[in-house]
Amino acid sequence: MASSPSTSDDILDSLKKNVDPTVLSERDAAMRKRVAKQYEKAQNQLRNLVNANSTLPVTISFINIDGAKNTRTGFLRKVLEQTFAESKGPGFTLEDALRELRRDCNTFYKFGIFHPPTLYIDSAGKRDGKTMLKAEISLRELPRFTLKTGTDMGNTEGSGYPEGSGYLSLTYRNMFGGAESLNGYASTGTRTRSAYELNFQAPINANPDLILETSGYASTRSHQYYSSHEEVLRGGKVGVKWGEHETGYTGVWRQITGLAQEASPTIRGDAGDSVKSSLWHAFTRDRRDSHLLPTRGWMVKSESEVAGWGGLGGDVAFWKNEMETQVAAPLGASGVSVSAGLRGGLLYPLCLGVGDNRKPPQPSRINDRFRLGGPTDVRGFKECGLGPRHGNDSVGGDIYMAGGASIYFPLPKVGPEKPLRLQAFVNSGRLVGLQGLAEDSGDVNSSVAGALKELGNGLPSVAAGIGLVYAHPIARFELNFCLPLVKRSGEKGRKGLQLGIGINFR
Amino acid sequence: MASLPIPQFLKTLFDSFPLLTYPANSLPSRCPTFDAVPSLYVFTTSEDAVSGNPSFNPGCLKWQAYMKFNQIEFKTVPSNNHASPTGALPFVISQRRSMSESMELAVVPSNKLAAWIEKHGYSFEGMVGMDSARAEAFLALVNSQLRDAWLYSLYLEPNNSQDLASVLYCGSSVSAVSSFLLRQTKAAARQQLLQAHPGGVLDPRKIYADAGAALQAISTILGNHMWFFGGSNPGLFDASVFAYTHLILTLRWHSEENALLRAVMGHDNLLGHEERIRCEFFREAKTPNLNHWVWEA
Repeated sequence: MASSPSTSDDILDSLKKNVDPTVLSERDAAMRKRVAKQYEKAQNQLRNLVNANSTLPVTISFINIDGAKNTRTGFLRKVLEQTFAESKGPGFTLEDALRELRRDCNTFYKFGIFHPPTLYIDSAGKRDGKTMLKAEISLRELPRFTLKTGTDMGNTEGSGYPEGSGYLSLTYRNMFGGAESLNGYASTGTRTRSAYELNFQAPINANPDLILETSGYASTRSHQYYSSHEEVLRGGKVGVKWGEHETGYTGVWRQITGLAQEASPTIRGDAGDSVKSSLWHAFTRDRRDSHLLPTRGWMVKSESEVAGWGGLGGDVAFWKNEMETQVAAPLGASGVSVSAGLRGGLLYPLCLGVGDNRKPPQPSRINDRFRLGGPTDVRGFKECGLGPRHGNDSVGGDIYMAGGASIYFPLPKVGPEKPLRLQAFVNSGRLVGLQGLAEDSGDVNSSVAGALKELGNGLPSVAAGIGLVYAHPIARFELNFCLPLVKRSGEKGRKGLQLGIGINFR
Repeated sequence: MASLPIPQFLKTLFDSFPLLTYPANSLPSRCPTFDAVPSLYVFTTSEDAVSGNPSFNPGCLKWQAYMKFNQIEFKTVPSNNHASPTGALPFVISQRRSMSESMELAVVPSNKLAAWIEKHGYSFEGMVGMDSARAEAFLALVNSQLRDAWLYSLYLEPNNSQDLASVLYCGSSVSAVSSFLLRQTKAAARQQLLQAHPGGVLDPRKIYADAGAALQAISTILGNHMWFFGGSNPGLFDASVFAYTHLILTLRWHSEENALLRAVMGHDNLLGHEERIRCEFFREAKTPNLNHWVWEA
């Protein structure tokens, strides 16, 4: 899957090579899913074969694992533990044995260190009226080291503007023989000027669905296009992923620097260093058929973060919560579908520190405030074009609400099978800042209440348009003709054509 | 696309969007507001900023004092080098009336402050400008010899850098960040000093001896006058000297790393000069605890 930087002008060609690592991993996941399906099919045939004997009482006498030369025996044993325990039970049948062994194979595969496993079962005689089974799981390890270089093309959070960057990534798989992996990543580009990350992941208790992750990173991101500064981050995080949940701790030193000559006083006021020390939790439940062009299903996402509160330390203290939902449904069998989404976020300042060092809630900094607007976000507005502005700079806000609805039509002659649609959309958003908070005084609750009231003051900023959507497997492309209908003075609307490229569309 | 002729009615239709425009969003709480009083962005603590006390950085204090000499009303805002358009403090943000009568904010970096102060300040008769060759020569003494010794004693003397520079310039709630910043700051100071003292070796005795000689020369030129160069009011050179003498006299130097303090203490007329400016323009400023230092010396 390695590719090298290319000079080809053909955008689609270069896109094929310019794969974002997250997309790569999604593609890996898709492949794994496909293989797992085939595997399941084979097992189904086997099941038919043994169906007649499905209730045959059996016990698994031993499981031989083959081909896992770099994997610890203890780790393998842990995976099989439950199977052995169950097989000793009185009511254990051939069907149960197959189910258990299949589950084990699937578990091995999910660690991401093996090729799809193969399973053989044989009879090993009878004892105490039970058929003894011996199983052999044949594993083949993936290479321990993988080096990838190439060019990324992704969207930076909510921007929708293409980012060109070169990257280098080195993975050390199955580091200590327990499916641990160490990944080093370095990239350089136009928006993310530079990024380095060292990431270590390991399954907890040999459970592929419970992953411990720690990482350290340093990056420089440009926010010059909409708020005249760059942000340098140096930090680390440790987290646990289980199923749809992820939770952890982040400590990051942020530096607002490299201000443009015309930078507004708000940016100048926030320039310099701050440290965020926070606990966070994220939950995603995605039941959509595709996240790039959903035609059926729903998704909810929630992210919460508590920074600087109690003994967490750092320079900023707030509670931040964001919620997002999306629903999609087909209209009949014509290929026409609709989708709608709603999301919102709140930043609630908290007291910083404890005891005598406790400081009253401080108004938020530009690093922590929300941004809104852009071709993948609220269409018909420029990137970060919504919300409070100081001079030419978007300064962000503490509370936002945004929503939109689209209807998708398949193109005549192309048909609904191709991921190409005509869309008509209306979307809107509102981003406001908390008012009346000073460094040492101010009532946060009344300030939040005031901002919530302001959210409902008049119509939100609205834009509508029509356009073409193409869901390429690695990114979604939109070319829309947009008209802002309602806006706040100073907000940057985008009248006319707007191009959006990205992975996360709202 | 621009060359396509667009029918007038389409253009009119197009221009009618957005259909509804509300007033602008209010800025979030932390965003600074500006009134008629200009803001001087300097290295200072938030408490000192409120009371208008001297900045702890000589480069900033010089302009702070000079603006006061010129009776310019202003407020000080705590800041750091990242905020400055030139990469170094101080700078001023002031309102100016633009052509359209709306208020516009202007950022004045330190290299344009002299001209800005001249334009906005109250001009005194008999205020000595900085254009004379003599003043230039003495200013060079302050900006090289005295500055080098200041950099050395604040950043490169081990105890001072730990107890003073780290607290003043590298304050962070996280000690790892503080020590990283301090390391960076010390390296920058060393680099600056090495430019003036090529050869890769810094000799503190020479640096302090040069500063002592410079102070001697400055003291001699002041003589028994109230202000430098016989002016009837303090000028930019007075501000430049005060910026160092005041800070040298008031910082809590480590007792074994206070060569600069001892050098200043040897010149009664410079002590008097510092006191005159402090009493007239910075009434709430810290006073040098001379007894303490005399006892230590």
